[in-house]
Amino acid sequence: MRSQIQKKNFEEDLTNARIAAQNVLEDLDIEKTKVEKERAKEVAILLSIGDGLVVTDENGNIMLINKVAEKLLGRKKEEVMGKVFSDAILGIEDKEGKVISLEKRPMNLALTAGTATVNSIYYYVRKNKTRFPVAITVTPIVFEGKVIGAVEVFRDITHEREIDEEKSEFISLASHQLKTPPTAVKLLTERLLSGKMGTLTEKQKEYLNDIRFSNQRMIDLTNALLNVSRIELGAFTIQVQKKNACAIVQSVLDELEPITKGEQPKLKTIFPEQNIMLMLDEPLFRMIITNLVTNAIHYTASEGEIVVECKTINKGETVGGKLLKENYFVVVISDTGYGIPQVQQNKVFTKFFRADNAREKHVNGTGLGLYIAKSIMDHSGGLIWFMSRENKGSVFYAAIPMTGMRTKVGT
Amino acid sequence: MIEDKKTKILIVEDEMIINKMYAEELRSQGFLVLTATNGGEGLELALREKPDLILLDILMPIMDGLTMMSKLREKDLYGKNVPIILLTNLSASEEKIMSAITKNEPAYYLIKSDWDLSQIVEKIKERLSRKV
Repeated sequence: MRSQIQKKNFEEDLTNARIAAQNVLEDLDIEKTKVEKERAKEVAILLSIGDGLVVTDENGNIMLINKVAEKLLGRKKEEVMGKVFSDAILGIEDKEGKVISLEKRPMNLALTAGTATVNSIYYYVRKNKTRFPVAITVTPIVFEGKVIGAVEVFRDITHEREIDEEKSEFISLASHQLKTPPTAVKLLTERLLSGKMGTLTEKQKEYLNDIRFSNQRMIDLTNALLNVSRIELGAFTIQVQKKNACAIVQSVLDELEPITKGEQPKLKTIFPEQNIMLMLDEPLFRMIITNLVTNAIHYTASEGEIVVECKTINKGETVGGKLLKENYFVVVISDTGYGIPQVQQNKVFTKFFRADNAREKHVNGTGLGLYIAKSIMDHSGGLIWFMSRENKGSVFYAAIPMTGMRTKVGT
Repeated sequence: MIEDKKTKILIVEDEMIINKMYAEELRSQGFLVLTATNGGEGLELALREKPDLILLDILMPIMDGLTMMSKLREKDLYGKNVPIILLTNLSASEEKIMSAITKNEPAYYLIKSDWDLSQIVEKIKERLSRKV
């Protein structure tokens, strides 16, 4: 009897356990479907991104590619899935059509070094060999401290490029046309001031000199605008020759003598070495130094002091708060001038920017000098930075690698 | 400069005021000055009058300066050797100008807006004294 009861209980337990297990399994199934649904949703969200999207595993094999990417690259999902993204599938080159080597490609940088890339300097080549300028963002996927793949988002920027170029070309032609009238004014005032057209009264001379001065400002401004447009168009060339960098800096200072003389801050130079030979594009290098020194002059009170120093700094040394990663030739221009307000320091290299106190002290500035200097440095592999305190002064650093400026061919 | 055989300079420039300023300054310096306002006219004058030096603008109607220069250089021995100073407000780093200059020596370029009349005259005299 007892055993019968025991058996019955046992069977009941078993049934209950079975039901419980079934319930768990059913719940699990429901959860599983839910999870799968969620995952599918997430993938759908990913694939619906309006830019081209490619996800790879740690070996660079394509795991996911969306419709936009297929369309942009002229490839079908079926032909690329599981293949290495930057290898067989994709042609990637620079503006001049030079193929970018594997180890330099953004996807490879993400997978091998874990480096994220955001750039718009490359071109992607479609299956049919046509190409388009591309803006790329590649990020490594890091999971439990390991790079397990990479995500690339990219888009075709042909249209943006065209607009940019149209703008710059317009400025370039406009600058040329704008320079013709002030050129005529320049020649006319010079003829008049020469006295060959008759003797001038002191007042007439004064006014003519004022005309000449204002006219020259107009020409300078137009030149600066022209330079900006060339730089932005990427249309300028950097042609280097072996030059004595110290001698060039000295000759810039000599050239600026007319504005450094008289009621101006004192100018001192420190050239520990007289000969430092570098591969330089002289006109561009001069433009940078001229801009920095004229700024120091304009933004320092006449009783102040400006020091121009030329030196070489070795790899690993720190100068002006910056650790240098290779050997550099550095020009340091320090002044005891008005300085740059702390809150505006991050805008110093932007186009047309002028600090509030700069506007006050020197009304004639273009707001283009530092922007041009920075652009040239960016294109030629140099560095430019500064330290400044309002009402104490500024120190600007212009550094060219001892290996020289990087050459660049215009387009 | 010998009075009865004045040095002849041709100015090819479409901007009337600029053309006039160069011409008057050079005349007052004792040069014999011829002027043209486009490349076509300039080419014709150059071949007929054989000036000792040509001041040449680039952007001009009918025929631009670079075209005129290459036509002149191809024409004959005189055209091949006459010194040319390109006066332009186009930036000299423009690829087109650079290659035209190297191809068409002896030629120089000056950026108009950067140069005073007196400096241009100096440049011309310097070029003329160098008889190569």
